Amino acid sequence: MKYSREIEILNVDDKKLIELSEKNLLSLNLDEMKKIKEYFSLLGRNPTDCEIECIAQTWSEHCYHKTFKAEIEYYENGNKENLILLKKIMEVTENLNYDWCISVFKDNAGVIKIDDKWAVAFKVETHNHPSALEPYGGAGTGIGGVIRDILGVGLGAKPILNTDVFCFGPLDYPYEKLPKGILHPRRIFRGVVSGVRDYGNRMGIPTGNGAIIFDEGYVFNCLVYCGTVGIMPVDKVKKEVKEGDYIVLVGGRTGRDGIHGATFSSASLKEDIPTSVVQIGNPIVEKKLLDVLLVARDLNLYNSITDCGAGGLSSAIGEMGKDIGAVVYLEKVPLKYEGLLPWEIFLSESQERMVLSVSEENVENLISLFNSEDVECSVIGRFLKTKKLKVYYKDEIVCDIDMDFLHKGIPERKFKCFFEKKEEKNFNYKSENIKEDVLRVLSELVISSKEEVIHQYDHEVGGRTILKPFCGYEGKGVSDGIVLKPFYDSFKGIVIGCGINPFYGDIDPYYMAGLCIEECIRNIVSCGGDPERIAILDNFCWGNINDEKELGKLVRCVKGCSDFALKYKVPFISGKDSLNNYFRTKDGEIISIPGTLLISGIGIIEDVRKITSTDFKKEGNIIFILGKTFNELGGSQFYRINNIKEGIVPKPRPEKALSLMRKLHSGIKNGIIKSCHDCSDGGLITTICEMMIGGNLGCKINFSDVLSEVEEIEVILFSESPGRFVVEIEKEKVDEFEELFKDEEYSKIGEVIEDKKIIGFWNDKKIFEITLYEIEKAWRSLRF
Amino acid sequence: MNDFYIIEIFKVKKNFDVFGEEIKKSIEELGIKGVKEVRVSNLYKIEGEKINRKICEKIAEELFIDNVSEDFDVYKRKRGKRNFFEIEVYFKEGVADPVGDTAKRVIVESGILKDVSVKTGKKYYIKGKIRLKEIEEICEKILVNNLIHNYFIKWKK
Repeated sequence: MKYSREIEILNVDDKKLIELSEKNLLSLNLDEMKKIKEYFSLLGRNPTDCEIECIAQTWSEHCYHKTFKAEIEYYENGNKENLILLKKIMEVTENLNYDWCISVFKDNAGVIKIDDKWAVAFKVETHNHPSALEPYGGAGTGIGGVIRDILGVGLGAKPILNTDVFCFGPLDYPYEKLPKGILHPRRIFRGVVSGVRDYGNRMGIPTGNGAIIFDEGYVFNCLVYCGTVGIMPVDKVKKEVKEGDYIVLVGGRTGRDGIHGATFSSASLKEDIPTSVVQIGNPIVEKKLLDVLLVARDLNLYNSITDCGAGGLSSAIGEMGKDIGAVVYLEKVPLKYEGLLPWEIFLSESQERMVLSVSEENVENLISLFNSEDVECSVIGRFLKTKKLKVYYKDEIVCDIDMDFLHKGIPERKFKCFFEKKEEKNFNYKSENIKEDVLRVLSELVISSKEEVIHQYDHEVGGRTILKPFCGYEGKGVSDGIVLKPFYDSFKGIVIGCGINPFYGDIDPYYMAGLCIEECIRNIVSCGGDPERIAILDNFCWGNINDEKELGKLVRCVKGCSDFALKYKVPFISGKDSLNNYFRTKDGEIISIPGTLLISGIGIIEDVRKITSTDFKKEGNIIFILGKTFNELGGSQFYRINNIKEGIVPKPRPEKALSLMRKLHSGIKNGIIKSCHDCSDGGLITTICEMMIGGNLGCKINFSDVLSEVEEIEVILFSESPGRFVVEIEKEKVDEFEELFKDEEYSKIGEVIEDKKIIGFWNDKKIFEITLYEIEKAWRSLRF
Repeated sequence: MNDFYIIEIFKVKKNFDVFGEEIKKSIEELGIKGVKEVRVSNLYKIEGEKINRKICEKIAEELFIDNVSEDFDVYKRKRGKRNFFEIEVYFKEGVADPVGDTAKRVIVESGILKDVSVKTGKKYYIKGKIRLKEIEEICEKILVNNLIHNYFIKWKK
């Protein structure tokens, strides 16, 4: 063999097999290595380097989601249950069975219908490991990758919005405590923000919705979630590779960058890492690719498309030709520089590439179209009915394996895990100085204004953004979500929101899942979204799942997702998991991240003229709070700033919340509600302060009027009970409002005043007064 | 014969150097005091046949600089600035360099040269009362990611 190397596995023992897996960064375990040995001993030969790498990529956690597909034996307080995580999540969508969910869990992204002509696709990815190593490049390619996912859904959707959610360590983390090779959170933060900014802005796609969480748990492993929303005609949702189609590679050239990204992402971060896993994006190439692809799509020049993400060509072609078979000629792949080995070409994760499947009669037209737009386009093989993946380099076969083995041969994994539910105890913490505590909560990193980051992103490009990340007076107020008007000739809109809060997970991941789902729905509904037309995406980032306790928490969280999504009647349309986010120190100690669940949601709005924003509109208007406050301060920001780890975690109450939200939606649609903001992180007082900042107005609030389980000022101000909204109603419309909400829990708590301060009363006795200036100073104190 | 030149692009003196100021702030956050001034310039290493100083000056003037706020220098080797630590940072071999690729395309498409290779880098000038050890710390913690960058420190006593 001239170009590839034979890997000796037939005559080696188990120990050597594991060594081989570790040495070559394959991230395969012994069972899997043995299965490969078994397959090749049937063929009577050793695998080539290309074959074994290709199998490792296809079977990696990143591509195959081994853990989510595995059968898990789960013990909760001694009660045994067998389940498969992915099935548990997909069940929700199957049970709800909405006809507007047109492509779920099978393609690159989830797709729902806007109307009979148009559909919208949404996908959220994680790019944690690369961002921890090279923040600028890692975050940039994260966005680039998820944009390509949207380009590769169905026959291609047009990206119109990016979202981003980050979790970092505290910005003032002491340098001395950082191990070698780990970048400081401040540096990661700056790099990640610039990476997302540069890629999104240069692609001409607005970046509009997101969140940033800071916690010590993320010092060693930061989390970077990137999402993209795209629109596409309904008839372009289906794709099918046809036998005899040519394999066409378009976009950027192939280099040695990013080799082993997929297997690497299945491993933990260690101190020595090869340069080749780093990818650096080139948004200009991707922009050109995007534009020409959409033209080709509308001319029906190709039958199927997928992006070259993790695993590179091996994963893209392997996936497309799963049921047919493919022959690839690697020497036809355009390279950045000479000297790449065949397996490197096949596995490289060079960015900005897509693979098309093109019928014979269209090949010529496609090539001339791409050439005219100066985008590289080369035919590199053909899908032939062989049921095999055959790869040639010049005259040598470097890979020849059965598609069935590649995609179905993976030995099933079995896991066992435990979860011990701790009893939640009430912790009565009394505030010594209410005013000071309010200002401390407002200046906490998680709550305070992220304008320095958000204003770096372009959120207007494309001219579709109706409700922006900032609203109100001088654009200072913060929005719950973002509303887009995707079409020039229709008032239909889409609204995006998200929910994330790892702090509840410390107490119980089950309720964390429910709370994240509800927060996401609340965000969407308070912008004017219809609670009946919301679809959500799940993104799990978890620590060391080989630890039975960590896995137990994950299972508990997935159960929460499944139960609560069903109760809120929202389907999951797509999802992704990133596991093994842990760091192994020199002494072998394993530090896992806090289990983190991000729920991103997309909703449809019938008319974008009938939405509302969070800022107070006019003095004299009446303020109501919808929903009831409970004594649930566990995991709240108020307890966090006071270092209290106990307490009762908020409990979602789906039936009540859903019926309230339906009425809220009709209230917003009919113009009764002037402004609306949901109560989440930081409790009622944070919500009111944010509304004041947006409106540049003050308010008088009688806190003893708030409908609450207990009459305690700390609970009423800071409890993060779900299912609550603060709304502003004009005096003349109060009757209409009360009629609409007559069967719901709500209370009238105060009014908007011109004087720029908040005056808090308790049974008509003034308890505190904070000026808008002080509030703004605390809330906008974050400087990066 | 392949030859090479380096084009250095920097902000004209009277203009505020935003990136330099940002790095100065980061250095202060590290707890290193005594830095008076940080200036940043972009480096383009142009390599290929038929390269000479004149062509590189043309490339810099016509393609790379903003005439209002920036100026350039073309050289093969440059004598160090007095009182300044100079740090040059380049990508390691094999790491993608999109800016370099685009610069190369522009040079070829504008018809100045038929073929050329362009590598980009950054040069930092740091002035102040600091020791070499502190400069090394600044490099490791702020300016350089060892995974993808090579760097050199130059200083004149």
